[in-house]
Amino acid sequence: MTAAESKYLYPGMLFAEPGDYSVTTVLGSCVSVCLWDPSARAGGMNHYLLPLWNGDGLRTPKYGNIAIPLLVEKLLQAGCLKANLKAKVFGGASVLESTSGLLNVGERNIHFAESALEEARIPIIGKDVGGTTGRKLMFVTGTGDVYVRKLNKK
Amino acid sequence: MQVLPDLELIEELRKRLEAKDKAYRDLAAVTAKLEELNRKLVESEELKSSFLSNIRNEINNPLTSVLAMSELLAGGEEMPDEKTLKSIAGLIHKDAFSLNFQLRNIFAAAELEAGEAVPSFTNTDIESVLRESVSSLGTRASDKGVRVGFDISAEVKDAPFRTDAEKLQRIFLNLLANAIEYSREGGEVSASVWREPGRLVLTVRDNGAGIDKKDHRAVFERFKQLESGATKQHAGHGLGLSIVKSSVELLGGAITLESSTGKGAMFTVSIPEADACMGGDFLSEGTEFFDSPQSERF
Repeated sequence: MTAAESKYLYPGMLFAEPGDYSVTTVLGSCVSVCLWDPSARAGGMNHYLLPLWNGDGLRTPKYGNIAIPLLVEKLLQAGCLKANLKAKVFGGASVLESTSGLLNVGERNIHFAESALEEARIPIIGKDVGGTTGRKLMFVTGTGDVYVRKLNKK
Repeated sequence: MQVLPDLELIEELRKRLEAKDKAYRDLAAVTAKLEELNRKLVESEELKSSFLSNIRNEINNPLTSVLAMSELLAGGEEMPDEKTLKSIAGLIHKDAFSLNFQLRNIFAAAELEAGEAVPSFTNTDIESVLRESVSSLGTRASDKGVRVGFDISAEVKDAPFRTDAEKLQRIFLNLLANAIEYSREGGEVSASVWREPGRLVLTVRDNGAGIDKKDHRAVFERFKQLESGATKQHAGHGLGLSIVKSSVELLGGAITLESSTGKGAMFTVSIPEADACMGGDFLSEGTEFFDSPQSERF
C-alpha cells in the first residue's frame, strides 16, 4: 500500500482533492460513492446519510441528491473529466433489525446512488452494499483501489 | 343485411380505450409532478432573492454606520470629549460585531454546504464557551432591554466535555441571538445547560410571540423567515437556525422546538459526547487495519 496522506471522512462530508490520499470512513446504513478518473489518477468520496434533502437545515452533502452531484462537480474542478469517471459504491447496510420497505434507509441510499449514477452516465465498476454489518473503508485516490473491511457486530 | 358483432374487434377496441385512459391518467400524474416541481423552483428562486435583499440590509446598515462614525472621528476638527469618544467607539464596536456575526454565519453555511466543515473535537470547558457567547451578545440584549438569564449545572462546571468548541459556540450564539431578536422589549431570555449520560443538553427559551405549530419545520429551512417584505420587523438573513440545525447534526446531535403562538419558544439541543477515538486518533489506526485477510479490495 502507498504512503499517501490519510484523511478521515466524517458523515455528511465530502473529499475531492487532486493528489494521492487515502480516505477512510465508517459506514452503517450510510452510503459512500467513490469516483475515480483513471487518466487524471484522482478521485473523491462522499458519505451521505439520507437519499434526499427535504429542505430542512442547510443544503449539505448529508443527502445523496446533494452529495453525488457536488462530488462530480468538485472532481471536474479538480481536473477530472466526466466521461472518464468510474464509480464504486459501498454501504447501505440494515444495521437495525426488522426495518423494511420505506423505512429501510440503507436500501433507499443504495437505490439512490445507483439511479443517480445511471442518470449521470457514470458506470459502477465495483460495489459492496447491503447486508447487516457496517463497513470500514479506505479509498486510495491515486490508484482508485478501495479496501473494505466488514465490522463485526458486538 | 345483418352485421354480426365481431367479438375480437370489440375486445380490441375495449383494450385500446383502456390503454388510452391509462395514458391520460399517467399524463395527468406526470403533469401534476411537473407542476409541483415548478412551484418548488419558483419558491426557491423567491427565497434566494429575498435572502439577497436581506443580506444587503444586514451588511449595508452596520457598514455604513461604521464608515460614517469612523470618518467623524478621523476627519473632525475638534477632538470630542472622552464620553462622546467612548460612546462612538461603543457604537462602532456594536456594528462591527454584528457585521462579523453575519459574515461568520455566511462562511459557516458555505463550509457546511460544501461538505468541508470537519468537526474538530477537544475537551471543552463548556462554561467558558457559553459565558463568552452570552457576554458578546450583551449589548444587543441591553439595547432591547432584554434580560438574559443563564443556568449551568454543577456537573457541567466540574468536568470538560469532548466536543467541537467552535461549532458549539456557533450553535449557542445563533440560538441566543435569535431569542433576543424575537423577544419583546423588556422580555427575558433564559438558557440552561446540563449533562445527561453521554450527552450535553442545552435549552434556550424566550417569551416572545412564539411560533405556530404549522411553522415549526419551516424555521429550520434556510433563507426562510416567517415574515418578509415591508412587514418584516426582525433583523436577520434567514440562515441562523438552518446553520444551528446543520451544525447540531454535524456533531451527531438533535434539536427540537417547543412553542405555540403567544407562548414564547424553547429550543432544546442535545449533543452526544464525542468518542475519544474520534478525530485525530482515528487516523493512527492507519493502513495496517486493511492489511488483513478480512479485507477485500474493490
